[in-house]
Amino acid sequence: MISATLIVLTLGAAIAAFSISASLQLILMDSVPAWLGVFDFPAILLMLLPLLLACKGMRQSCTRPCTENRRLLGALVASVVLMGALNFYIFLVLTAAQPHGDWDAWAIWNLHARFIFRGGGDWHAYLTPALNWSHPDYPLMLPAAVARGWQILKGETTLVPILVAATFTALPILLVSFALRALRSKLSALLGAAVLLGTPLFAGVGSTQYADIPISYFYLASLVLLALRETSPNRGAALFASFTMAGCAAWTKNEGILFLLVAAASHLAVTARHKGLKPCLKDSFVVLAAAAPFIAMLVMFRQMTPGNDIMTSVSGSSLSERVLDIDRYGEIIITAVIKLVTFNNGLAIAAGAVLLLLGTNNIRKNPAIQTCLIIVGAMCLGFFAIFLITPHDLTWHLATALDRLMIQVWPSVIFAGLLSYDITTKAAAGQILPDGEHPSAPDRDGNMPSLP
Amino acid sequence: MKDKATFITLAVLLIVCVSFANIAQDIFRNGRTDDLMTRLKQINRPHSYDLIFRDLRPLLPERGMLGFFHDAPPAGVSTRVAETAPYYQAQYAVCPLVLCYSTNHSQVLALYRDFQPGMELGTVTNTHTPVTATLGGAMLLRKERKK
Repeated sequence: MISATLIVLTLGAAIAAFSISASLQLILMDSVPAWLGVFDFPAILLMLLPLLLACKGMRQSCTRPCTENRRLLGALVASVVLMGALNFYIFLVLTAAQPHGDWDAWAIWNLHARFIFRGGGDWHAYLTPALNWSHPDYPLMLPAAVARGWQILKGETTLVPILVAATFTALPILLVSFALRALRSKLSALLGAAVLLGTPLFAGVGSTQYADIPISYFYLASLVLLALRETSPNRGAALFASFTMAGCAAWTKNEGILFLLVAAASHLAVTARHKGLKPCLKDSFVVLAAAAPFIAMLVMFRQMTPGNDIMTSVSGSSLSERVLDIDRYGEIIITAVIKLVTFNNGLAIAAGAVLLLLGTNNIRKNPAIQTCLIIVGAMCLGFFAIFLITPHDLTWHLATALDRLMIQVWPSVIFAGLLSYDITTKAAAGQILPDGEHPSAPDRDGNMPSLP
Repeated sequence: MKDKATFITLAVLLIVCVSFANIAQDIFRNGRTDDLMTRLKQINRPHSYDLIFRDLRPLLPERGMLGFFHDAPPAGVSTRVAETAPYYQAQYAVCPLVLCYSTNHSQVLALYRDFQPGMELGTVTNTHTPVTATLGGAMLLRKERKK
C-alpha cells in the first residue's frame, strides 16, 4: 500500500509541477510553455525528488494482524465500489449540465486560464482593479494547469478543466484509503473511502471545477506525508515533501497560505514539545526550505495583482467594529453548528460518534497524529477569523463559502480522525485468515503493537 | 471482545447506510431536470455567450478595455445573480479584452437579449452608435464624434 500511496502522491505532485513550471514562466518570462518549459526540470525536482526519497525504504507500518472480519470487509469493499460508481455518475451528470464549471469556475479559474492562454505575453491583462470581482489576486495553480493543457492540445477545450477536476476529485479518495491501509487497517481504509464517497457534495463540488477540491488534496497529501514520515528512513525528505504539498495548497487558493502557516507552526510546536528545541530548529530549516519557493512565487505574484478584498479591509475602525460585534460571533457559531449537524445528513456527526465510542485512542502516543489534529482544528479557527473580519455581508458569505470550506478540510478530518483510532474487528472463531496474515502477539501488558 | 466486534460492525454498517442515503438523495435531486437544469440554463450559460460573441470577435480589438452594458434580466429572474451574470459571462467570452461595466468608453459592448432591427436601445445610444449586431443580441457601439 506504500507504493499505491506513492503513486497517488506522485500523480498529484506531477500535476502541481506541471502548473508551477507554467506559473514561473508566466511570472518571470511573460509566456506560457507548451510541451517543454525552461522551469519544468526545477519544478519536477522540487516536487518529485523529496517524495521519492521519502518513500524509498519506507515500510508499511500496518504490521497489525489482519484478524478482521472478512465478511464485513467483503461487504464494505462491495459498498465502496458501488458508491464510487454512483459518485462517478453524479460527477458526469453535473459536468454534462455545466461543462465550463459552475459560476466561480468560469468567473474566476477558467477565466484566468483563458487570459493566460489567449493573452500570451499580455496574459496579465486581468490583473486589474476593473476585474476585482474575479479575484485577480488568486494564485495560479489551477489556471496555469488548465492553460498549459490547452497549449499542449493547441486549442481551448472544456475537456482539460474537466479532466483536472476529475483527477483532483479522485485523488483524495484514493489517498485517504491507501494511506490509512498503510498506516492502520483495511477496515480503517475502507471506512475512510466509504465516508468520503458517502459525501456526494465532494463529487458535486469537484464537478464545479472550483479550486476547493484540489486544495483539499494538497492539505491531505501534506498531512499524509507528515504521518508517513514516522515510517520513513529519510525523515527530512518526508518533511520537505509534506511542506512542498502545503506550499502547493498556498499556490492554489488563499486559504492555502493559512494552511501553510498553521501546518508549520503546529508541526514545530509539537516537535519542540516532544523532542526538544534542537530537532525543532532542524525541522524549521527543512520547513523553510520547502516553503521558500512558494513564498517567493506568492510575493512576486502579489507585486503584480490588486489587493485581496478581505485583506485590504483589515485596517481602520470598520475592522475593530466587526471584531467587537458580538452578534457576528453568534451568527458564525450558530451557522457553523447547524452546517456541521446537517452536513451530509448527519454523516459527519455519525462518523465522529462512532470514532469516539470505538477503538484505542492513539492521540497521546503519537506526535504526528497530534500535529494533524491541531492543523485541522487551527484551520477551522482560521476560517472563523476570516468570517469575523470579512467586509462582505456575513450571512451571504457564510451561505456561499462555509460548505466549500468544510469540504476543503473534510478529507483531512477523515484521515486524521481514522488515524487516531485503531479500528479492527476480530474474525469469527475458526474463520480462515487471508494468506500471509497472522495474528500478532500482544505485549506483556496485553496491548497491541503501537502504530505511528 | 465479541460484543465490541458486533458493535463495530453495526457502527460501520450505519455509516455505510447513511452514505448510501446521501448519494441516493443527491442523485434524486440532480435527476429532477425541472429544477437544476432549468436554473443552470437560465443563468449559467457561458457556452451560449461564446456563440453570441463569436461573430462579433473579428470587429473587436485584440487587446484593451471596452465598456459594457445590457438590458434588464428576463422576467421572473430578477435576482442579483441574474443581473450580473450577463456581464461576467460576456467577460468570459471576450477575454483577453477587459470589459468595464460602464458606458464611459469609446467602444461599448452591449447585449440585448430580445434585439430586433429598429428597436429602441435606450439612453446609451444618445452618445454611441451601433456598429453591428449579431443574432444573439450582442452588439458593438462606438461613441459618436461631435461634428
